[in-house]
Amino acid sequence: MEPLRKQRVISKFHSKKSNKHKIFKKVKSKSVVEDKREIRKISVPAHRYTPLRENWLKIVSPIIEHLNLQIRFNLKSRNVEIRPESVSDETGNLQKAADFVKAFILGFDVEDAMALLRLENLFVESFEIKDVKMLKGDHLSRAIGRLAGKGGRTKFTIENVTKTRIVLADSKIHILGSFQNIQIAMRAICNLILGSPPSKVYGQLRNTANKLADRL
Amino acid sequence: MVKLINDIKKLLETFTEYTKDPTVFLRIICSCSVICFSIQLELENKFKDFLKQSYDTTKSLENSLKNKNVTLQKLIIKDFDTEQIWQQLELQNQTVYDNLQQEICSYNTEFNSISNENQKPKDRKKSVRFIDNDTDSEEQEEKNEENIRNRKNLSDTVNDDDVSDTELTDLEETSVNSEAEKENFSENFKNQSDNSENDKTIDEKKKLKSSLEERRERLDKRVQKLEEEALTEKPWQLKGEITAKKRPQNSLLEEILEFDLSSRPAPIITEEAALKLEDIIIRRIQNKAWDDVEKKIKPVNKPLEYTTELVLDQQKSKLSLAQIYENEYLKRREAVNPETKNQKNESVEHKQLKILLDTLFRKLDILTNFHVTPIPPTPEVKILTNLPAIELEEAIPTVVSEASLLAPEEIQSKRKGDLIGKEERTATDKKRERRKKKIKQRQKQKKQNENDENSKKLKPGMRTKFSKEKTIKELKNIAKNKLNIQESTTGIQNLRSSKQFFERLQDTVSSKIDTKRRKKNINVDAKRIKL
Repeated sequence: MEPLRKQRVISKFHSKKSNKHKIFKKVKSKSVVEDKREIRKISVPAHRYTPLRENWLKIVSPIIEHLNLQIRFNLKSRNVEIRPESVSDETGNLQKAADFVKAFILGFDVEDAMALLRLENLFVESFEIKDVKMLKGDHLSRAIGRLAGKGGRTKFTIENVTKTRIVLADSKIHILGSFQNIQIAMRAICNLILGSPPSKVYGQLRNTANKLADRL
Repeated sequence: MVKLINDIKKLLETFTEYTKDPTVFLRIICSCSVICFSIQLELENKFKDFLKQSYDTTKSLENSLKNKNVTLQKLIIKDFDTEQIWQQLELQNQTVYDNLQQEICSYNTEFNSISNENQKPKDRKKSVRFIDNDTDSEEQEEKNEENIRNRKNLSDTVNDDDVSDTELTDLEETSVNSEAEKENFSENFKNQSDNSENDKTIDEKKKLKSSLEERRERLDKRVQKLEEEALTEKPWQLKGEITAKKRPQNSLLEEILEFDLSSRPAPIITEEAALKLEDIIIRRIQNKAWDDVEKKIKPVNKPLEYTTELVLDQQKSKLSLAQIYENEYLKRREAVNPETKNQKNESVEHKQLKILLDTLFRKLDILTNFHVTPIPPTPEVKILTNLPAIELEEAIPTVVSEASLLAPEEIQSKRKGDLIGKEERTATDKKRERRKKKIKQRQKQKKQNENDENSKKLKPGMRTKFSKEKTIKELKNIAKNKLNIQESTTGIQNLRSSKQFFERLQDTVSSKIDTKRRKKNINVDAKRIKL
C-alpha cells in the first residue's frame, strides 16, 4: 500500500525573513500550537485574477514592509489571505490591508487603492443602479452610458472634481474617497442615473466643489 | 511911537535878510556832519536873537491886556532849549487868542442886548462866560443875575442826560432865539408906532415860564407824539408780510432792503470780464485741457474672486488618488507654516541685501518729499479656511475665530433691494426682471451660437441635438424670404465634375512642386558649391 501522501504546502506565506524555499518537516498534530492570529480572506473573481497576478508585487510589498503583515494567495480557494505577524494586532493594519486588497479586487488601480493604506479617512462606497432607480434593458444601458460619458469623460470629470475614484462595473458602482467627497460623487451619479444631462451635473458639481475647495 | 515904528522896520529888514536865500538851509544838509552842526548852531543863535528882539518890541505894545501875570514880558533865550522857547511863545499866543475871542463875543452880545429888550434872557453858555465883561447896561446886569440864578439851578440838577438835554435845547434855543430875535427885530422896527398894542399881544403870547414848566411842555409834546404813533395804524414797513397790493405803488424802490440771494447772481459782462474769458479760453486750447465727459464704467464685483476657479478636467487624472491626497496634505502643511518654506528659498545674503535696500530707499523717499509718506503696509497673505473650528480635524490651530471666515457676501453676491413676492411686484419690478431675463437669454444664445460655429469649423459634419430642427428652420427662412442659397466654394461637396477635380488636383500638385523647388534652392550652400 502507498503510504499517506504528505500534505504539501500549496504555497508559501511570503514573509520578510524567508525568501528561500524551505523543506518543512512533517508536523505532528500535537505539536501544532493553535494559531490565534486573525486571518482575513478576500475572494477574487475570475476577471480580476490576471490583474492580481500582474500587480502582485506592488500589492504585496507595502503590506509586508510597512504594515508588517503576512499575505498569500490561496490558489485553491481563490482567496487572498492576510494575517499579522504576532498574535495581537492593535494598530489596525490588518483591516487597512484587507480594505486595500478588497479595493483592488473591486476594480480600483493599485496606486489609487494605495491611498487607503496611507490615509485613514478614505472609504469605499458601493451601490447598484437599481438602488437608485429601477431601470431595465435599454434604459439601464443608457444610464450606464450616461454615467460613463463619451470616452469616460463624465466619470473622469466627477473623479477630478471630487477627488474620488469611481469604478463602474456594469450595474454596480464603487466610489473610493473621503466621506464628504463620496457623498458629492454619489449625488452626482444618482442625478445622472435619474436622467439629468451631464452639463447640469457639471454645474452642480462645480458649485459644490468650490465649497469643497475652501476646505484645505 | 516913532521909535517903535523904527524898531519894527529894523526887525522886518533883518528877517528879510535872513530868509533871502533859503538855500542856506539846504547847504547845511549837504555838508558833512561836523561842519554842518557848527553852521546850524550859528543860524540858530541868529534866529533866536531875532525872536527875542521881536517879542520884546511887540510886548511893549500890549499895554491893555490884563493877563500880564501869565505871560512873560521878555523872551528868555539864554541857556534855554528850543522846546522851552516854544512853550513861552505858546503861552503868549494862547492868551492873545483867548482875549481876541472874548472881545469878538462881547461885540456880538452887545448887538443882541439891543434887540432883546423885552425878552427874558435865557441861559446861554456864552452869556455865562462873559460875566467879566465891563458893559454897563442895566439889562446886562439883570441878565447876569438871572444867569447866576440859572447857573445855580443847573448846578442843583446836574445829570449827564439833563446836561446834554439842556445843551441840545440850548443849541436849539439859540437857533430859535436867533430866529425869534430876527423876527422881533423886524417886528419892532415895523410896529414902532403901535407899541402899546403890540406889547400887549406879545405879552399875552409869551408869558414868563419857569424851566420846569418848559421841560414839562417839552415832555408833554413828546408823549403826545408817542401816543399818536401808538394809536394810529403802523406803516406798511412794520406790518410783516406784505403783498404788492397792500403797499403804495413803487414804495419798495424807496426802501433800503437787505436780503440773501440763494443763487449765484448773473455775471456782469464788462470788457474786462470778456477779456479774461478769452484769455482763459485761449489758454485752455493751448494746453488742450478740455472738459470732456469721461464714460463711467461700473466696476464688477465678483463675490467669488478670492476662490480659485475650478477647471473641469475631462481626462483621466494622471495623478493617482494617493498622490493627490499627498499633495493636498503637503499644501496644508505649508499653509500652516509658510515662513519656514520661504526662508529656505532665499539665501542669507539676499535677505540682508533686501533689508538694507529697503531702508535706504525709504529714507530717500522721506527726504525727497515735503509731505510725509507713511510706510506702505506689507501685504498680509492670509489663507482663509471657510470652516468652523470644529471641523478642522487635523489642523494645528486650536483657536479659530469667526472673523477669519469668508463673509457670506464673498460666497454669494448680495441681492439688491427688499425681498418681494411675485404678487407684490410693481410694473417697474416686473419690467426689470424681464429685462434681466432677456439679457441672460441673449448672452446664452450668443454663447450657443459661438459654440455651434466653433464646432462646425472643427467638425463640419457633426450633428448636434437640435441641428436638425435648426436646419429645417433655416430652410424655411430661406424659402420664405426667397434668399439665394449661396454655393460654398470650398469643401469636398463642391466637386461637381471631373474637370473640377482634376483642376484642383493640378493646383495642389503644382503648389507642392513649387515648395519643393524652393526647398531645393534653399539647400544650395556655398560649401556645397565649392569643389
